[in-house]
Amino acid sequence: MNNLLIWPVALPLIGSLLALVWPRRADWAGIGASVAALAVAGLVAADVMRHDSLELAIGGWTPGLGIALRADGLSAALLLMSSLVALATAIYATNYFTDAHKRADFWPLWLLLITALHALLLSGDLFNIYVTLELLGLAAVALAALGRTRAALQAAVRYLTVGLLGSLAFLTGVGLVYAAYGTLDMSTLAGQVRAEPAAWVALALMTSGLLIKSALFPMHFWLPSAHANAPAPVSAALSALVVKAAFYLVLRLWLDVFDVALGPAAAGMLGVLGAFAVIWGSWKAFRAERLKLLAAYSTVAQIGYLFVFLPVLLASAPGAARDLVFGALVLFALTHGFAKSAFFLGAGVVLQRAGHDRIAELGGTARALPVTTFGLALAGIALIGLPPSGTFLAKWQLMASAIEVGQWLWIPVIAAGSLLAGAYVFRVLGHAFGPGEGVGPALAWARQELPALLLAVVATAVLGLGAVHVWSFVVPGLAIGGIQP
Amino acid sequence: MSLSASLPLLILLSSLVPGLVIFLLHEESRRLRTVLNLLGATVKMILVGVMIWGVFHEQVYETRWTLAPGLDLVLHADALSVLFVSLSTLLWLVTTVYAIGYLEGSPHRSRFFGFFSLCVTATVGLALAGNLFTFVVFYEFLTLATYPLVAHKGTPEAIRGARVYLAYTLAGGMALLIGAVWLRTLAGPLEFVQGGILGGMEHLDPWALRWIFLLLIVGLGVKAALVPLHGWLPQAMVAPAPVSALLHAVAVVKAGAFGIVRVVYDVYGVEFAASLGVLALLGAAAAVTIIYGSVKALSQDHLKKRLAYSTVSQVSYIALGTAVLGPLATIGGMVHLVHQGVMKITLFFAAGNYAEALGVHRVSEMDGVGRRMPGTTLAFTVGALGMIGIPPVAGFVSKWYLGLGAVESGAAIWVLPVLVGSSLLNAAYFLPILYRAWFKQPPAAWPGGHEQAVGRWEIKGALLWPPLVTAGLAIAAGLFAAAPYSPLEWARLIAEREYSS
Amino acid sequence: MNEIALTLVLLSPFIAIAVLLATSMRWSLALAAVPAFAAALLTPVGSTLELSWLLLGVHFALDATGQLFLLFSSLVWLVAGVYAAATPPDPGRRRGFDLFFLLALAGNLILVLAADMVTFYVGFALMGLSAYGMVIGRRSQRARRAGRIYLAFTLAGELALFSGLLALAAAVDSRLFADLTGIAMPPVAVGLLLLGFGIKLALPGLHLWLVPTYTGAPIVAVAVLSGPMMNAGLLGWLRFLPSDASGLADWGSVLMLLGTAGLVLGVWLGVMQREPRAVLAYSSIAKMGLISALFGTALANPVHTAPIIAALVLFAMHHLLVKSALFLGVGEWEKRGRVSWVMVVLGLLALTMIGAPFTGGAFAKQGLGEAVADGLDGPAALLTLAAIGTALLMARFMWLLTRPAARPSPICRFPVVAWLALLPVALWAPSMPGAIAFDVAGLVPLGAILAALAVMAWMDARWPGLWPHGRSSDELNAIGLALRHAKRHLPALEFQSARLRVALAWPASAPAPSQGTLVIPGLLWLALFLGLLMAAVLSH
Repeated sequence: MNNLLIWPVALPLIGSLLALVWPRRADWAGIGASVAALAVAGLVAADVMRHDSLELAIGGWTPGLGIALRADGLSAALLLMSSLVALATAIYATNYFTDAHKRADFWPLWLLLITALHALLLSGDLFNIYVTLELLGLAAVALAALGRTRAALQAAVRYLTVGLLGSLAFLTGVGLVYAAYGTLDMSTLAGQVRAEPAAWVALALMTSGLLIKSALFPMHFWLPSAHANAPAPVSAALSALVVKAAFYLVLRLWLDVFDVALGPAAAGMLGVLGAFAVIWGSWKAFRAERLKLLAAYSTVAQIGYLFVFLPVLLASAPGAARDLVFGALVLFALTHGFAKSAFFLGAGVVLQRAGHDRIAELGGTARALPVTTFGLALAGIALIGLPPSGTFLAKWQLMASAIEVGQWLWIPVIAAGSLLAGAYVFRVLGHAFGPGEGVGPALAWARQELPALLLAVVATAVLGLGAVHVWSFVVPGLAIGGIQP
Repeated sequence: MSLSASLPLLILLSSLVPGLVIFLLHEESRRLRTVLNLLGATVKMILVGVMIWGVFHEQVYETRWTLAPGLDLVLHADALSVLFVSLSTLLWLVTTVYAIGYLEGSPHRSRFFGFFSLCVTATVGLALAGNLFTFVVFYEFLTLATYPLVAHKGTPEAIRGARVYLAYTLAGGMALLIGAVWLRTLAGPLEFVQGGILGGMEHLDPWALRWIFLLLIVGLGVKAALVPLHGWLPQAMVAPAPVSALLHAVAVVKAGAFGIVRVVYDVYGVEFAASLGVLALLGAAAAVTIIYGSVKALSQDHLKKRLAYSTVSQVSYIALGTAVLGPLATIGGMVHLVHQGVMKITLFFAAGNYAEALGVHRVSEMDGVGRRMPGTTLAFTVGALGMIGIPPVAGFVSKWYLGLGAVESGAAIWVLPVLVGSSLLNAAYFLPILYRAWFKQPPAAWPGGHEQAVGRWEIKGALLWPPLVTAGLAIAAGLFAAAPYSPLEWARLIAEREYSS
Repeated sequence: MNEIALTLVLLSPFIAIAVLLATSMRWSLALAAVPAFAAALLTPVGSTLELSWLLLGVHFALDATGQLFLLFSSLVWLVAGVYAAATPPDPGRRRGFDLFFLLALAGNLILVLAADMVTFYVGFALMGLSAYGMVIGRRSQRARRAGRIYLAFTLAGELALFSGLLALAAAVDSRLFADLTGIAMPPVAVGLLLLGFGIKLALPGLHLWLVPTYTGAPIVAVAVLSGPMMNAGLLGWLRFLPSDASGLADWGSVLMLLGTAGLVLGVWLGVMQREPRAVLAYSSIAKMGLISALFGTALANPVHTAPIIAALVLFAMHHLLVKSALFLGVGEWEKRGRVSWVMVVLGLLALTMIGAPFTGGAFAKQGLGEAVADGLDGPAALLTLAAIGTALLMARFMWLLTRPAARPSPICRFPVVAWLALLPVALWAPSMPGAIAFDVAGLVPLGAILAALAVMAWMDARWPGLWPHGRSSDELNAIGLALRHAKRHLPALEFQSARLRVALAWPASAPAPSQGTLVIPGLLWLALFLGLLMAAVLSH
């Protein structure tokens, strides 16, 4: 019996309630809850490292009836990432909202979002997952609408409707599963699912729902406007965390639950869609005129990469070969989480300082905001996938495995995507280095600029140089030092 | 950690740490920055000195850090890497002095010197890379560290130049990456081993290896400015003079050439590469580049552009030496790695001085500069004569060995005409400059309008001494080529070790 | 001890440079060659000096041939040095000339003493390229054009040499000349070496640089160019193509034919020149043609090799000395005009040039005659032809001297003393005292010279203006004109040559030549000749 797993969910929830009843101290509640959640996430991770996986049945009911919380390497890694990003974003947010009303609205919703996210990551059964998914979506929509501009509201409404469609599809799938197998607990299900029509239909329903929520091409249409028009801290969380939650579920379902029901064609299809997403998202990002829109389209592209991993992952022989790809996949997701949140926070700083985020008019940014520019550059490196970032290693492994399983198709996609990413990142930097007004202080607002920088450093340096620990954490059995072709 | 395990890392850190600290320095803390810069460079010199001694006595230096399963970041010192490391360390020191003088009073020096140090770090990392993966990592790192330097001036022209640079190098990096990944999946960890590793693996599909070679060479050829991948280099000359100097002599261009050497000798193995037939491809590319670069240089009036095209041509000598089988050609290629660096950096220093002191940017404005700036022009002359291959400047030694190697391997039929043709072309685009500089009357007023108050010398000492020192080195490297520890002797050592294994 | 002597010889030009830079004492120009001269007289043959740490490892040695070259070359350098040192400097310009003079001297000494190929090449390159700085002298338009042409050809020569050297070094796996004896020469190497040195020796087709240079450069430069430097090419052949190496016979025949062509071409074009310098220039071409032809004979007939080469070296030394002295004299003539004693001295020099009795020229020619006497009819005939040709050229030369000089300029006495001091040596060397011979054959050219002078006088009286005054034109001018003419019909050429012109900073408008009509047929003939030659060689 391990009660530790309850706290990553409970602490943000408590913080959220506190912020609701005590708006003037909301900052403190938010920061406190985030710090505490991070600490607990660290403890969870440490425990996972010791025991490989953790499980908690709330209220003492056995799984199948009650609410089960589970943590393994994948979820613990994402948990750690999300609580770290959440903390950094929260610190940034303390200085972001000047309007007291907005601030009062922000904190409870924000902490609710984190709560839902953590619950989703730790949930062990499909119904709970549906609930947390719905909660997550609603909190996200509410936060996205916080910008209060007309465009933000329109985007939020679209986000809401599309999200509901996704949830509905997911819920139908869950119902089908329950009808077919009589249980929603994932570990139980894993033993019962067979390759049969019911499983196929259920899986298709759930997956399609999740694809909408994870904004895979061509279902990405809602994402750019929603992410680009939300306030900066919200955009960071939406792009870095919320979208990834949906992908996490796809991964869980495909790998742990429905793996026997899968054929290579499905994975191949997702891979192709991912490939389109990579190209299209990168291209749109390159053509984007505004910094945040660029970042949003970049998310579309990066999610595409995650889906490109799938066919390679499933084609790799179970064992070391598959573990390698899986580790790389997690590494990619983590790095992107840090990098994208850093990018959005940096974009927020630029937007606030310059009053706009039109890329063509960013001249002088490098002079006025050197730290932020540096942070953007570092995050950009991770987005492109250049060393020493984690994405570089992940892409290396992806390409290596793709070659090994003979899926050559992905190689040019990855190459083109990376080059386009280079183009859009350096388009920003090129303008930022360009001539423009005045020279500002080296570090304008520490609380705003430093979180972005730190997140970017994590994405490029820490995850890159320490990437091997991601592998050993996510796939404990993998021989690291050994030399495998 | 023992010295043998930590020395490569220390060498890397000796420029990385000052670089990172400099970023944090206030713009006006000039003295501290200078001290940091020079301290780093000096420490690196000392460490490299230790390494030279050790490698000569067959000491093993290796730092290893596992990045991902099966992917190790390896810093390893062998004779070849020491050659390149010592070149970059030496020229870094000189260029730093030059840059301190050149940028005095201009904005963003902290940023500049920070990236400058990073650039050197990347170069040294490249040099010390112990496997292809590490090489790729530092290769990309170099791309990134150089970009801000090219864009440093912030003018639209500089930004455009930097963009072109980046477009080329990122694309090249991608080709290299794909090639490296592919090869890695076929042949396991690609540790650089003298004599190559692929020759011993008989199960490999030769066609796959050929395609991989093509990918690798395309990737490396971008930085090495092989035609038709050279387009970025003339554009990148918008960078400040010290950057151009470093770019053309050590950092970027040379990194590509060095990579080609590594791939051919220490991955494929030169004999195996020859048996695959890929060396002919490389040789053809190098030959075309040598001639094309020289021909293009002829018609450039902008001095730095002319020098840039000259680099395009000269760097391919290294590739040429690599493509020709046999120890003598190897020596020629390797030694040109050093010689070209020393000579070209001299030329760029001098070009920088002309621009700085007189506002002279074009060849057509150079009438009589020798009268006004004899020291600088003397250095320029030495560099130019060396490029043509006139003894006793170092370039002659390179050409001698390249030619000798070509004859030895029976490739003389196409190598010698290339060498001779390029020397003629070199003469055709350098000698008119020398003529103008020394023998024509200076104009009444220089293009820059304002003449700097210079005091005793033609220009301030920090700008005058670096070209003189490197010109002296270029002569010394040629004049004392047969002396122990000369670049030639070192290249000979490398060739011995490459061919004995 | 001998090592020290050689070191001193080689270092003295550099010491002189240091002295010149530090103190502006221009006498160092003359003194720089003194140690070399002394060493040539005093240092025993067989002295060596090895500096293994320098360049690729440097070897020097003094052998018999080298001693001769050193002796005569340093003598000319010495006189030229006095001449240069005493000539009043152009304000602000002179130091450049002096530096290049000393560098060229250094190069010449290095190559004469060199015992390995690379060292020889280094010296040859240093000499050849430094001479550019002397050629452009006063920077007149003519001098600069001369400099450009000279430089282009010299560079081409260096590169041919460099390639030949590589081929040779790779074949024998050694750089020492001593290791070349008896080897099988790779044909590529031989071809390239003949080409590389042939440019210096102005073989026909490779001679185009010579006339513009000799007419455009300062007289001191021409004196050393026409003497020591030109003969360095011959030394190159002697060093690199040892007579006992195999695979040279065919090349020898080629060289014979080429040399003959040079002789004919030189004489034919030479007698049509309008400037004394140009006549002397073509005379050099003719003489070098003869020397090349005889060298070719030596290569082609291994039996006769040793005596021919021994005689040839003496002949070349003689020419070296006399031609330099002649040019110095032309310099005096240019400054002073038709002063009678200058004319007399020049006349004497012309006589020794054609090998008139009781001169060193006669002795040198006699030696050659004896060497080719038995069984070699061709070369013997060639010698006679050359004698008559030279006589015609000298006649033309003397004829032109009777006209007023173009530009009288300030006179300086001291150089004249040096020149006159050279005179007796030039007249009688290399004949040993007591060995002065009288040969009836020597009277033939003398007769020719008189006949030619008479004919010219008659023609000049009959058709005044047949030989207009003024500058000579050279073949490059003519080619340029022809090309410009052709361009009107071939637009594609326009583009190419424009490119080339940008490249070499070629003058867009060279002075329009009037003698082009003469030169073009000459060149056409040459092309025809070479074509036939090639056809013959290939079908062989």
